[in-house]
Amino acid sequence: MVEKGRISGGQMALLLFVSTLGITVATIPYLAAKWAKQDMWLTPVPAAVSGLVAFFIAYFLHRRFPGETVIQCCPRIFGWFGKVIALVFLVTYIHANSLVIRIYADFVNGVFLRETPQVVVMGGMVLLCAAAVRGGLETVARATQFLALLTAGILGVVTLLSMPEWEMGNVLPILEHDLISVARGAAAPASWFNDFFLAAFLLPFVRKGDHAARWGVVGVVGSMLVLMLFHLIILFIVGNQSNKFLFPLFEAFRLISLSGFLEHVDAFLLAIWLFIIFVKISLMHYTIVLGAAQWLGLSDYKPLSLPIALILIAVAGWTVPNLTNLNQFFDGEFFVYNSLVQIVIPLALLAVAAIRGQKGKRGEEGGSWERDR
Amino acid sequence: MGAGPIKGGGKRALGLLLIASLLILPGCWDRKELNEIALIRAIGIDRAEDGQIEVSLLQAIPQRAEDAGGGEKTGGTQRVLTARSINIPEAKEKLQQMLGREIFTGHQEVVVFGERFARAGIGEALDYMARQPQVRLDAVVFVCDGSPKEIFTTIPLAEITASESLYKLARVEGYTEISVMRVLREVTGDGKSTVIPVVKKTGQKTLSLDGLALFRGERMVDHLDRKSKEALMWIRNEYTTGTVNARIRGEKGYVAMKVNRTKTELIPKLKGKKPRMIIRMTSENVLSYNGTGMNLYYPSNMDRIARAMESELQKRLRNTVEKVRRDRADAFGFAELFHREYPEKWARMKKDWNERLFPQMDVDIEVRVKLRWPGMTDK
Repeated sequence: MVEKGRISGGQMALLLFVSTLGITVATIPYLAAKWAKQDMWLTPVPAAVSGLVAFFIAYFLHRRFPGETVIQCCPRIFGWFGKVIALVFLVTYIHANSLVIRIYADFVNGVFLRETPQVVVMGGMVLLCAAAVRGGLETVARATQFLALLTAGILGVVTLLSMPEWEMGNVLPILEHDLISVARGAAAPASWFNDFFLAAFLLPFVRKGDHAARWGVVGVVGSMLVLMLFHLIILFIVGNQSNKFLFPLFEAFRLISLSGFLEHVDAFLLAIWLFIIFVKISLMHYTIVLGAAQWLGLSDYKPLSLPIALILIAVAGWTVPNLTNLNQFFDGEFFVYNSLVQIVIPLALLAVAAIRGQKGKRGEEGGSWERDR
Repeated sequence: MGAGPIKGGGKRALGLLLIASLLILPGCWDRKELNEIALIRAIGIDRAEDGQIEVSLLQAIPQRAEDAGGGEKTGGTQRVLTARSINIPEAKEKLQQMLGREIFTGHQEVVVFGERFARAGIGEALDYMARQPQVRLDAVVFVCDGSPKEIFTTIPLAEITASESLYKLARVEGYTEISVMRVLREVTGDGKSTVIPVVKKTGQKTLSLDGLALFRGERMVDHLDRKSKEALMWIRNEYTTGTVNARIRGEKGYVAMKVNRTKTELIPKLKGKKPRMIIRMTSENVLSYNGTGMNLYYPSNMDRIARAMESELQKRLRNTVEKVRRDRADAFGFAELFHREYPEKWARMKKDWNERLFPQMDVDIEVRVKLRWPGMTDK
């Protein structure tokens, strides 16, 4: 097998949890508020349903083909055509990751480092992620664990500090518009919750007997709850301007001031977000690198890390002209495209495999999933 | 190559890479040295007679701030620059040409609009400030009588800069809540109205507050005096102190009390299509002056004062409500309450809220005064 490392179920959940949060706190609340207005805090619920579906499709694929990623089981189901489908996954992930890198760079460039060339901002982060991925899955997981503690601490303190600014009345009236607008607002976060399908690349390496399914649910529900909390904080502080400011969470944290002696906490937000986005980019980068190695039938994926990182920087550079186009794309279109790749195609794979009664090599002798429950 | 321990040549390469990374990691493109930036503490925006936008910046000069304790070196700790142009960014660009340093607005804590600009509409300024990542949206906002330039060049004796003084004035009156962000929220909110404190120059070295400017949408429509300002803030449940004077029936002279704490309940009602608002205010007070000669040994006299104060407060609230209603600018936040209480009816009400419903609705005012303390003497 290409990947030698093993992670625990908890580490898998943490990776997926942090990476989902990372991207959904950027411009996503703004898009959710555009449709759902003061009900924006409800949008993570339908989004999480989408995430749950994506995760369980990955899980059932894993049960049918234990020890194999989706890149490996595609050709097993569809033969040479499966190879083409696997390529679709790879290309989609390269595109999706370049969008993540682009959001990150647009935020840092637009807000903090206005004069730094964008390629330097992107390059610094992507090369770091490439180095982490080169260290293997265990390295990425450990780094996430270590930094998550720190981040949770800082985030907790900042949230407490923001409490004097809260105007809880801003959520009223609840559900003034119909549920359709909430569901529509959920399209943007849902397309990132779909990334729980990335579990298809992690599950083969989860230690046996680690209750992967249970951990997956914990990951989805955890992301949903924390995202709801963030949306509420935004709503409490920024109020009816949530759908006007492109980075509402940043705007909310910028307004924190503790009776004049503690201000400018937004710098903390950047520090935290840097870490979170690091996890997101690393995880997607790992998926691409591992998938590419498996697609090409290489014995090791590590040498691919750096070259693919360079491709990512290039793609991120030309993928969209500016933030307006990026948001426009995220607000709906991306959900359709993303669901097609991460839900519809895997569902088709699963259905065909079930009808044909195909199973992975170790599927019959009782692979990891047997002891999973 | 595996991920094993790095040896020999690899180690050297890694070392070189680490050194090379020093070139980009310190963020040389965006470094900001203190002696290369112009620290802006306040911005003033006004409309000149010829219709141009006039922008004034108050630059703090930190190194001189230390030895300005004597208060004699007026103007040594700050500098005010003014330029006119077609819009704010253009005027700011002109100001940049006068400065040898880069304009840095990260510590801008005061925003002052000239009255002429406020009456013509502050939308342009709000858009500009919301769009800039370096501008802080929790800066306190003022409208000034006259031009912001005059306000900025007035340094009160005890203060180092005018912005410092403005910020302190705002803090004393509880105006620090009135930030750019709040103005943004309220002018686009349900009531589409807001209030901004007014400041004016009242002496060679004196700045003073002068009530509130009432905004309907982005335009200033009226000026509320101090008494109306107090009433408005009481209704909005924003803490403000204040002194109330009243005459007692059958007595000569005045009694005065200091309002210590108020709590106002706002109850929106909808009868058919006609909205009605009940304002129920409770205030806790301390008697600060008794010019009538009534003996406060007797509880009945305390009661008489409390009742007189109640009708006085009621009159004040009533006057303010009527005044604001005549201006068709719901700065009390009534619209929001109706929106929250009757969400399904609000869709039809919001269209002519400020034009028709708000000015014509019934407003009931109930005031309850609790006189907590007669003071140190019962005379």
